[in-house]
Amino acid sequence: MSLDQIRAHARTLERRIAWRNGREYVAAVFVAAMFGQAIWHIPSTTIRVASGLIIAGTAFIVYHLYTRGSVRPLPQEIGTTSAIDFLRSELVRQRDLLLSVWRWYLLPLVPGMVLFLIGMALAMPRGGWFVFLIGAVFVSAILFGGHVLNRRAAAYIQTRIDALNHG
Amino acid sequence: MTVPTNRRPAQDDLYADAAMAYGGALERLAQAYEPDPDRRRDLLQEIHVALWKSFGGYDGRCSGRTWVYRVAHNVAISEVTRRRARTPPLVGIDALESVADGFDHEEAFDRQRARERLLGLVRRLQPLDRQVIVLYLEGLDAAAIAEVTGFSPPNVATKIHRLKKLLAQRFHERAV
Repeated sequence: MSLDQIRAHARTLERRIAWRNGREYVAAVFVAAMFGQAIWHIPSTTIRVASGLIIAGTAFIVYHLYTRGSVRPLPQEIGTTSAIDFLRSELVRQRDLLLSVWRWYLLPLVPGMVLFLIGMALAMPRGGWFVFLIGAVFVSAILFGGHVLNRRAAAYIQTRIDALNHG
Repeated sequence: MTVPTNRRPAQDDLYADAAMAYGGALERLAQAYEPDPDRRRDLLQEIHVALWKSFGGYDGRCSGRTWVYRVAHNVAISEVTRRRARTPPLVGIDALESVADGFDHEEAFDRQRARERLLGLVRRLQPLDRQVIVLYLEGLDAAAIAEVTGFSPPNVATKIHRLKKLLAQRFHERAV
C-alpha cells in the first residue's frame, strides 16, 4: 500500500470506530426524544416522572460509554507489548466489560421502566395490573437473561486468561 | 532497519522500509488468520495502518523485525478475539494432536493442497500457538519468536517441536 492509501485508510478506520461508538449516542438521543415527548404530552405524573428517570438513566449510560468507549482504536503500546500480554489485556478488558455491564448499562434504566409500567397500570381502568405483571416479567426476563449470558461469557474468558497465566 | 543516533527516522520512512522488507510476510500472516479473501484484505490493510501509526512511537528499543511482527500479530489477535463468537472453536496443540483432520484421502496430493491443509491446520490453532508456527515458518528462531510472543525460548522450542511432529504425522498419513 502507498502512504497515501495508508493515510486514507487510517482516516476510514477512525471514522468507522467513531460511527460505531456514535450509534450508541444516536440511540440515546432517540430514547431521550421519545420519552421527552411523553413528558410533554402524557398527563400522568407517574409516567412523566418515569420518563424523566429513563432519560436520566440513558444519560448515565451515555456518560459511561463515552468514558469507556464501546469500540476503541488499537492501543499505543501495540508495538511494545508482547503477544501474550496484549492478548491478556484484551481478554481482561472484555471480561471486565461483561461483568460490569449490568451495573452501568442495564440497571440505570430499571427504576424508570418499573415506574413507567406502574404508571401504565394506574392509567388503565381495567386489567392494568395484569399488564404491569406481564411487562415486569418480560423486562425481568430480558435483564436477568442478559446478565446470566454475560456472566457465562465472562467465566469462559476467565478460563482463557487463567490458561495464559499458567503458560 | 536501524535508528540513526542523531535523529529518530520519520514515521513514513520506517513504514516504507518495513513494508518493503516484510510485505510478503504480512500477507502470509493474514492468510494464517483469515481464510475469507475479503476479510483477509481488510485485516492486511488494518495491519499496515497499525504499523504505520505505531512507527510514530518507535524508538529502537527492539529490532524493527520484532516491532513489525508484534504489531501485526497483535492486530490479528484483536480481530480473532473480536470475532470469537462467529468462528469455529480454536484449539491448542494438545487438542489438535488428537483431532482427525477429515481430509479426503482419495484426492490427489499436490503442493497447493498441502499448503491449504497447512493453513487449515494453522487457522485452527489458538492465537498464540498460531503466532509461534507462523513466525517459525517465516524463518525466525526460538529467541526471536519469544521476543515477539512473550513465551520463554524453551517454551517456544517445545511448541515448534510438537507442531512439526504433528504436521509430519498428518502429511505422512496422507502419503501412505
